[in-house]
Amino acid sequence: MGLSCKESNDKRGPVFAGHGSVNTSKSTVVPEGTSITFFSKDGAVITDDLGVAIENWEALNDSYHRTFEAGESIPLYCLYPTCGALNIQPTSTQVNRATTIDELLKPDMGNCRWAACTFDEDHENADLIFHTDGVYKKINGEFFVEVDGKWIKA
Amino acid sequence: MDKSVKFGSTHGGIYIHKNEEIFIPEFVQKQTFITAESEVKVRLVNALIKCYKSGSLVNVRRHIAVSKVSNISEKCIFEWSGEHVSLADAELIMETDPAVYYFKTTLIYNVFKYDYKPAAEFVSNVLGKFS
Repeated sequence: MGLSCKESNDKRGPVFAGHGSVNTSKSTVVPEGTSITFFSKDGAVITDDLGVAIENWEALNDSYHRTFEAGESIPLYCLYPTCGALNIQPTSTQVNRATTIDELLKPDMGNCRWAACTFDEDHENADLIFHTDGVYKKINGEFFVEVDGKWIKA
Repeated sequence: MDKSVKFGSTHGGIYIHKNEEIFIPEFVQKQTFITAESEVKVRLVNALIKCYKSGSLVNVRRHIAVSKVSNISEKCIFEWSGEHVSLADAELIMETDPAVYYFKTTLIYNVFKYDYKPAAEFVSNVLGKFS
């Protein structure tokens, strides 16, 4: 699994929560005074439980995460409204229509978090499921978990 | 602000299915409702949406389910009886007597969009429980 990049900004910004996707063919730039952390690789999905942990500002130091700092180019993530099936926390920021990240991020927001999937069904990571205790994938109806770079039946 | 309306029982972690649970595929080629069965199809979609909202959802993930029946992947978002329906990527557990079924939420979209007709016993049990 591993840690890609540490959340470095002490000021907590909004947590964007709901359903999510990514368009890696388009990009935007993180504004000044703002950073944002993702907890799944591009193309992959997160479980609702991981989403709740992200929203509650759990440290998740042992989970995969990657922080983009101000001025960095990021793919065009998109946030969708929830549908009632998700356990969204009342403190999180939601949307009522599909909204791309360039519309969500503003200057001086502090460190934001993305509590949604970064899903792209055509991406090589589309079968990866990021959960609170590791990374899973489903093969022929069975779950496998990544342990030391190998896939072990869960 | 929390704008969500919480549905029935949900499990947002990794749910490993039990052996006794019967999996119903999300689509089977050439297994579709014919025109004369359109009333049953409408009742089934109504029942499945009710099941989605009030039943047990497991393996809930934070993206919209995607149907891949046609050549183009489609997000499972549609209008039904004047209602906007968007389906999370998840699976549903439906307990009946004596069978317990599980199926992906994409099955609901595929009944709606592609007239998919699942196994007769499953259809009968869904209608019996959620009509």
